[in-house]
Amino acid sequence: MADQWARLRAALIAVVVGVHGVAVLPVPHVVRPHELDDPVAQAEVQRWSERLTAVGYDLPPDELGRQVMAWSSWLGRAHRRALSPVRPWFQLTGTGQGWALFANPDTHPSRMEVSVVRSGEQQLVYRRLDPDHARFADELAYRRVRGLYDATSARHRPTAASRRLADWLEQRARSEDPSIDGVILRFVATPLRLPGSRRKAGAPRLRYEVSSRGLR
Amino acid sequence: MIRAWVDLWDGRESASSLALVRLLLGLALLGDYLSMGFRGLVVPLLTTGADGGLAPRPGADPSLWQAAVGVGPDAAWWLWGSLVVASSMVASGLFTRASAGVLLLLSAQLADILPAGDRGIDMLSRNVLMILLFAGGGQALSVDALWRRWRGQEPLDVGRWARRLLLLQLVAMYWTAGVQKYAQHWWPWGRFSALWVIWQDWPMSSVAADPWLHTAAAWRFSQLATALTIGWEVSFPLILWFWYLLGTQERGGPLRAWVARWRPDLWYVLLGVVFHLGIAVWLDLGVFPWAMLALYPAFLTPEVWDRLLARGNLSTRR
Repeated sequence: MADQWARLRAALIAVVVGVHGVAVLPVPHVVRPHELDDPVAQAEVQRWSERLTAVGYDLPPDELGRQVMAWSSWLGRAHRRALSPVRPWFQLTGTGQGWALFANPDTHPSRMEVSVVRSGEQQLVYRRLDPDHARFADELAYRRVRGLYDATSARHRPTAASRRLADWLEQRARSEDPSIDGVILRFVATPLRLPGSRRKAGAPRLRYEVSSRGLR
Repeated sequence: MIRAWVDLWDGRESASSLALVRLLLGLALLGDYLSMGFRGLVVPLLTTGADGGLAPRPGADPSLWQAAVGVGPDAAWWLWGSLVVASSMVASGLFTRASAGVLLLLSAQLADILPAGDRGIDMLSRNVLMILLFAGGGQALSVDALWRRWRGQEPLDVGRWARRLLLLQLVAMYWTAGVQKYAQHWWPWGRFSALWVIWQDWPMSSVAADPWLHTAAAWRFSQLATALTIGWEVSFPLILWFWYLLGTQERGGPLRAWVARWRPDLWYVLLGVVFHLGIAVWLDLGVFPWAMLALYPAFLTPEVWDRLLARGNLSTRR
């Protein structure tokens, strides 16, 4: 009986390891055209193209970008299809695999700023890691709130999540000062220059801004 | 082959390693939920724009919690309160299996309500809670164990499969995290610049505004740390081989003797501890490093923990 139980347990674990083994496969995420417009992705494609050309595979950056989109799309579809029978289980339990942690460091990271608008006048009240403008710092640093803006901070236009964030910050600011008209959320890209690099870093530039409900 | 697979997952061991994982993970998750409450973020994070919250509208496919309890502030407080109670019960080992199952499902509902706020560490925690649901983990260092003792019953061991499955999860996670680092900044041809770049990623860094990041020493240190990180992650599956060699010492040979003497598996674990403590200092990722470190007791065998805890007059049977 004990031996039968051991065999059954081993069989069940084999199923679990098999399913999670497929889920954990290091399949790249499906690359979309707008992602290749990003300067970080463009620099990455450019450097890979140069590297591949140097070892005998002549792939211009445009062609490499197309290939990356085609292959990542095919692999992503195959991966999704393979996991479709267990997707309801993963959805119900929130379990699964997927560990692309810090896979693609952002060389143009965005610094978030929040300004309140009162009678048409803007006042900067928050800038990430700026002790002189630290209103909302505690709330915005919480990891679940950060999840709403760290992915969208690499984009070039507002998302639904960034609009909700602006509306919530307006409500938060208004609870203390009912005279404000609204808030403006800004994402300022700060290009990095590696030490010793010949390339210029470029000046900080506004990626996008989003106004809260009171200003829309 | 089949016999070896069955044997790999068979057998029982003292529950101390798994109990420590349960205790520390429960505390890490409890701390995360309490932090959410103390910052006044329960209603904002768990309600939709209609109630002034940050969650997207549930639309035609609401989460089970939203469908059953509602979408307003009351439902948000109930969910948060349930998460706090369930994580306290997991940490204290009270009705351990049931509380692990409840916490798993509640955490999945939180993920459903606010997908953007659900990070990799949340999914990993749920994977571990699933193991606790089936294996227990309340057989030691828990209210459940105290209760058994009070009734005069013998302490229970735990299936060896649970700790092994957890270790396999960690190996898979570190290895795939390494091989998916396709950006050139992680590699020699990108000058091992990844961590220097990540330390300046405003949303997640806690040191991006510090001027010393632009010193030569910081740059050199970041290159060394990047090389160590990628090397450690990509080669992490070697730890499985070291464990195999340690587990088959009776076969002899110089390689087994070397592994037994130098314990490279423990060096990997130590580097992991340093890696996560570094993340705690340099990055602002909330519970991530602490929840990861909460899983590290699994890397040591229960015999080691039993000896260590006995030295501190802490019986694992409590």
